[in-house]
Amino acid sequence: MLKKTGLLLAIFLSLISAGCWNKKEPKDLAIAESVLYDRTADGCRIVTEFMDLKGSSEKESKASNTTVISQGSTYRDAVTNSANSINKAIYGGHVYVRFLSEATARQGIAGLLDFVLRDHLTDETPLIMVVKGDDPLSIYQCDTGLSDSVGVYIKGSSVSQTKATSTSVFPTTLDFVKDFLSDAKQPVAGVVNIVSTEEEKPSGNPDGGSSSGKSGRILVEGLAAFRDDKLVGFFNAEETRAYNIILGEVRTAVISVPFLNSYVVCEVTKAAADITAKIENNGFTFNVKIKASMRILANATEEDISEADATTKIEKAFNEYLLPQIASAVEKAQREFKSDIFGFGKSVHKQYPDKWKKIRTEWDDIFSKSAVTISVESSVYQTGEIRDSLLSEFSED
Amino acid sequence: MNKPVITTVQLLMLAAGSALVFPYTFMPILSTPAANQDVWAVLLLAFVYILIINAPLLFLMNRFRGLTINQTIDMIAGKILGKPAVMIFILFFMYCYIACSLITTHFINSYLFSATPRWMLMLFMTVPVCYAAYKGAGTIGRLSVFLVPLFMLTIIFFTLFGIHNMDFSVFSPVLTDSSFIGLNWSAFLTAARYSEILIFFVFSFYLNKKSSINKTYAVALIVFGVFYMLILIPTIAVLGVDFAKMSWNPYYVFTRQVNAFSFLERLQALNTLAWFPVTILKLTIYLFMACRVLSVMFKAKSHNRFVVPLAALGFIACNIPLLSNSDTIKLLSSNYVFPWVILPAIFVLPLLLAAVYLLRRKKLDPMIKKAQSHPVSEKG
Amino acid sequence: MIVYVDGLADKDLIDRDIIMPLKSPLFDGNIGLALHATFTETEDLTKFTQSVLGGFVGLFYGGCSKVFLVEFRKYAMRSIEEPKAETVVRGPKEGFNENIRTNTSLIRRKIRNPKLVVENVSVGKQTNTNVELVYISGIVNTDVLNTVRKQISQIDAGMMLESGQLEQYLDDNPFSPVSGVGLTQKPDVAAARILEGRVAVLIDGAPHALTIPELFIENLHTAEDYYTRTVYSSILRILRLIGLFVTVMLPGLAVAIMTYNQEMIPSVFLSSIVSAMQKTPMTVSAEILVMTIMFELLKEAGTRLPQAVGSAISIVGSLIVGEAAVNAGIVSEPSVIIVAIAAVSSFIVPNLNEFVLVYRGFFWLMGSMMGLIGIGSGFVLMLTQLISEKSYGIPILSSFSKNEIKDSFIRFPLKTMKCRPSSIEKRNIKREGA
Repeated sequence: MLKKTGLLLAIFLSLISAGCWNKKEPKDLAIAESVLYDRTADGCRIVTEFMDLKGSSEKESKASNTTVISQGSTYRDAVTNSANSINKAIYGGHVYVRFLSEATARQGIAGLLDFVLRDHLTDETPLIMVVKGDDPLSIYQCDTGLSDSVGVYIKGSSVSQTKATSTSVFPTTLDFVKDFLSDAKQPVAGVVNIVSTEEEKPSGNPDGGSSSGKSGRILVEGLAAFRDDKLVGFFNAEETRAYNIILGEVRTAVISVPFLNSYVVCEVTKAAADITAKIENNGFTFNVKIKASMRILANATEEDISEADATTKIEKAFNEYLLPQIASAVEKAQREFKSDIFGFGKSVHKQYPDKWKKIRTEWDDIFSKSAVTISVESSVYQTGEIRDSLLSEFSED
Repeated sequence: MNKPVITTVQLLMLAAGSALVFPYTFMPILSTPAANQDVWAVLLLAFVYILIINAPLLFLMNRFRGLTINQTIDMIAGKILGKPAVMIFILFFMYCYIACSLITTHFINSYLFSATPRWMLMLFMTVPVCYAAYKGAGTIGRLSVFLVPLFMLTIIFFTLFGIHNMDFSVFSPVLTDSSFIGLNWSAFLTAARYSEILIFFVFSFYLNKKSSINKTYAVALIVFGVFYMLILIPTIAVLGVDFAKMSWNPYYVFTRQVNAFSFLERLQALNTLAWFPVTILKLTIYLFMACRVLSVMFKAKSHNRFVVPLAALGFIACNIPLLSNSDTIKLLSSNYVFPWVILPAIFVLPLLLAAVYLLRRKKLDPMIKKAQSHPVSEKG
Repeated sequence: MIVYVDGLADKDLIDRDIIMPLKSPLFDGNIGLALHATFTETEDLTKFTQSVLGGFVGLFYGGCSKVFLVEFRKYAMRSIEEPKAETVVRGPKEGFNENIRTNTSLIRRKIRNPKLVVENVSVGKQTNTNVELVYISGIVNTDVLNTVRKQISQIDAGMMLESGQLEQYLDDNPFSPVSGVGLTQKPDVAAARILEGRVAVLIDGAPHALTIPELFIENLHTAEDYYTRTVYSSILRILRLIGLFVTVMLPGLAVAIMTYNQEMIPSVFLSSIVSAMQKTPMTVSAEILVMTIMFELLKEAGTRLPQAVGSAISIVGSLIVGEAAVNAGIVSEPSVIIVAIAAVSSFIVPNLNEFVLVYRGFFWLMGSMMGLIGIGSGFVLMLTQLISEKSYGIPILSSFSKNEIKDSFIRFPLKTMKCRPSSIEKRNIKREGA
């Protein structure tokens, strides 16, 4: 018994003295919240935003986060080099967002993705966003609104905006990689615009925007279309909404539709597209049927929209208003991007599996030449808390 | 001392838990040739093949009820030929033990602890494995009833909380991209990895006389199937087939996407916590089986004295640099090696034995009766 | 000649029932008729000494070789009080006291059954302590009973002053952190366990009954579970199970997650942990260890001190030491919180003190060495140890059969609990009348 106990004790003591290889003390961590990948003339550059926890005890109104810029011949190199500029161990487990500069995205990001997926420091959960513009680094000079850091800001937007606007996309790195690996759909990334606050001084605040000396404002809107791993172009807000409608990812989209002499505001709560492919004279034609259900948020006309025929009219107006938007988005993807970001290939795969096997590698070229017919159907299921139009009171006089 | 008794539930948990470790770790079904969106069909088909492959051994087990694996083989093949046949099983158990250790340490090294040396990881596995294997069949059986349900609960948990990330459109188009032969071949390869029938072969000796082996086997297979599906379907629905095929441990990557109550994120740690004990259980089972068969072969009083030497052998083997690099492990776990090592032990040899038994049936049946009425008493 | 030990025998009774009749003119020399009390006769010197030391009165008369033994015990003892360690809101409040006769009578009053057997043994070469085995023949597991008898007869000890000493002689494995012997101060609990087929061992001079065998799950049970309604007591039992897990594993798990798996911690929480830890010099695992030791010190100080000072210690401990240590930057708030939660939870399972302390330290070690891998490895080691542990041949942590699960970490309605726990006694497990 004594021998056994002694042996066990010896083993344990030796283990303790041997040390603990992967131990990371929380106080020695530099917790990264977002990373910007950029390409310069000399190589790769990354900007890492770290959680700054020095001042949390003094209850400062706003903790300023630390950003570190580092260079390297590859992205992984730059990550390693950033350790030279920060006094703690870099920890990537809490990264929310990966920003790509436009230059990086246009050059192709396959190598970056491989590193991100292979290295155990990083994983595939962060969002992937393209920073529009020539000066991506200025994103860290932007006002971060109600949050402490750019990373948290974007993460917060990804939750609130998908519930509110549908004019932006927030794919995670995993979503991006899934689309990248698939032949039937091309990946997309979110878009961050940097808006200079100097031009838009809000009235009543002569200093302009924030008081903290921040030089810009973040606007998350639009979509970055990729072909394989290269950025090919952007969608604006409207086109992004069309993209979301076709993919059935709309949760709330508020659309003001011209109606009679004025307008009604519709809130699309559910929309889905049924895409069918057909082979016609050696090319594909697609029939995209969109079904949307919505409720009315505002009515600026005199029409009593609780009547059945009025809702039919609204639906018609809505269809006519949405159709060109969607058509132009699809056309842009076909003509300008030559990239099937909508996943039309999936329906070909489903309907013509044998044919698909032959054409899958050159699918994007075929897609860009295909004809697409679009139809929109919509239904109003709710007209709001009041029945008659308030404006009708005036018209009766 | 009386021989330890294990219940059918324990046997079921042993088999199902042990079989589920590999899907949880590296999901071999995704490396089969026909692994596309129809991989669920491969899994379903695999059960037909599992039944075919396991049939001879199942038949033998039922005939030689209450006898040890050594007695069974000695009786059929004779004393001289029996020894090498038993040796094949022992070698197979040791192969499984070492391969499983290698795969486990490789996974931990690449996903969790990149800097921790292999011997240290092996130590943390080998110590509990030795301890549990030393305590014998009864303890292992009861251990399974505590560990495996917890493990299954995490699978259910991940499925429930991962459901909002799942995209079931990845499964369409259904059954169009795969050929009939491809599906069957993949199913066969998947089935050939189910070596848990040997757990029944060794542990049914401890089973209560009245309980049915076949029923337990069937239920274990169903439990295994259901939970394999619960591992496979969410993984593919969240990661997509292509990415799932690419990653080393797809299920782990899936669990990283799971979040609950918008507060608990990146729950892969829970995966580790549930997976590691069951891996230890699997290793324990294989080590115990090797020791047990060895001890009966050498007519030793108990299996205890073999535990430490065999575990040490495994420990040393896993620290050989040649064996422990990525390529070897990939090869070991690939379809070129694993099924072809398992098949001789679970199919070819039992088939031969069953054939010999059927030929010598008249002579053997009275011997079985006699042996069954004098049960071997042993400590364990 | 009258022989008795002063202080053990009742002098008034001796005067009234022995001396008076003998002095009376009616006395005719026949002692048996004269004595106003039940008596036994013996010629055995040892029996005589034993009895006199146990409070009997010995009476030699004339040249007779026999001695008459009359039981006139009277000595100071505590009255029946509510046991402090097992207080209940609902249910009987009486508890055992130091008098073994009172204790057996308390049990007998609960079980009015002729099959209830009280077996008397004497233990301790010097002390000759009275030990009694209480069981119901026909229900008790005879294997266990025989082993207990054998073990007690084999005890080679000079003294046997308390049930705790007896327990250590009866326990199979002295190094195991869980005891295979149960402990209770309440006659209703002892009676219930006897009715489940266990043997109760009472020892003179100790207000505890030992029950054998003891299953691990019983540490999560209280007497009140059976007196309150099903759902409530089931919830309480699950809570206790959680409490057990928390108190044993929380410090280790916390160290593992905080130093190896930070990605699991929600980022808002992580940031507050990091900023709290930045101000303290020690590592997480050292902080947890120091705080745990501090707490155990305070606990020990609190139990040893008189009650009035004890409360002062707890104030000093909790408020001053905790608060000041955090403010001075010696330890961080998260460690204090974790250790405090673990410490509070440990009072939920008071019988498992040793187990909790040993395995808490063990998981702390495993967690700080290897993170969650260490915890997983340690969990298997702990389970294996518990599972292979046996109390008188009965595994203390057995998997639950269909019947036993009804009274395990949940409690089924009493109407459905038709069987006694089958792991204690396989034969004859039907509860009669249920």
